[in-house]
This record gives sequence, structure tokens and C-alpha cells, in this order.
Amino acid sequence: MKIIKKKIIYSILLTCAGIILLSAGYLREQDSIMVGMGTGLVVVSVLKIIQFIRLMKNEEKMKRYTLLQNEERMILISIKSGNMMFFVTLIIEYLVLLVLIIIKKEMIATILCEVMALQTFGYLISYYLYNKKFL
Amino acid sequence: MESKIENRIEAYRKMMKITQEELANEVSVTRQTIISLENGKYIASLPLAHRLAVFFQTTIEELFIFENEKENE
Repeated sequence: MKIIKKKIIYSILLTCAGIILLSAGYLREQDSIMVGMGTGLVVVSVLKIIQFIRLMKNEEKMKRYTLLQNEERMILISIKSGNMMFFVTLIIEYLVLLVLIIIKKEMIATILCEVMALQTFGYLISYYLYNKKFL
Repeated sequence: MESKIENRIEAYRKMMKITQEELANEVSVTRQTIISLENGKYIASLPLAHRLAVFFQTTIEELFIFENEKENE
């Protein structure tokens, strides 16, 4: 039940983020990217909230869901796929960066460079913190 | 150093005449985890190994075989 409540709170926060993005998109004379992303966020998170509320009403399904969330093999798979996705994302960003430099889109390339630096820095910080935690 | 670990989960389960689903419910994991364990594709954590050993009324050493132990046998 605790996990579901946490997930509902995350989904509500995501819905709020989506509404903000959607409103900002309309304020900027219907910026299609912002409106699209905002709509996507709102729809997905509202559907998730409905799914979680339905789960809370069904004890059997709730038990199964909690088991899947806490099960060690599932956690291992989740960590491994997250870790792999992080490095795949970095490689894709690096390739996009090369293309941006070739087609002379310096501004976007600079932003992408900064995002990549932030991601790597975030990884190093979390590695350091977990290393300390499990010392 | 990575050591290979095998287990006798399938043998014990068959000895007790229970299904993978029943064993999974007893030790609070999914049936897929039991399949993975039996196939040797996944190594159980210490808490899960303990739960399995308690359920089969045996010891962790009896249930899980380390490669170097096998060589000594």
C-alpha cells in the first residue's frame, strides 16, 4: 500500500508538470512541442493514477503488484537495465553531438554538451554517495 | 574472482512434490525467479537463500554448491 501511495504522489506531481507544460505551450502561442509533451505527460500520469486506484481496490492484484515491486530479481533487472540505458543514452547523445557539430548547430551542440556533462557528473556524485553508504 | 554457484532447488522441490508456483509463493518471489534459479541463470541473495533453506529444512551450504566445493568432492 505504501508503494502505491508513493506512486500516486509521483503521478500527481507528473500531472502537475504536464499541466504547467501544457499551459506554457498555449501561452507561447500554441508551441506544438510543449503542448504535445504536456498532453502526453497528463494523459500518461492520469492513466497511471486510475490504474493505481483500481489496484488498491483489488487485494489479489495489489499483492502481486507489491511482490513484483519488491522482488530481488525484478530490482536487479531494473538496476541493470537502468544502468545500461544510461550508457546507451550517453552514446546516442555523443553521436547526435557529432552530427550537430558537422551541420554547424553550435548552440544546440553546446546545450547538449552541458546536458552530457551534467549526466556524467550526476553519475559520479551518486556513485560516490552509494560508495559511502555501503562502506 | 567470480565463482560459479549451482543449486539443488529443483531436486528439493521435486522431493517435496510442490510446483514452482507454490515454492515461489512460500518464499515470496515470482515463479520466473524460481525458474531462473533452477536454470542457474540467477544467483539468489543471502536472504532468499536463507528463506529457501528454511523452507526445505536444510542448510544454505546443502542447497547451494560452490564450484570450488564441487572440485573438492
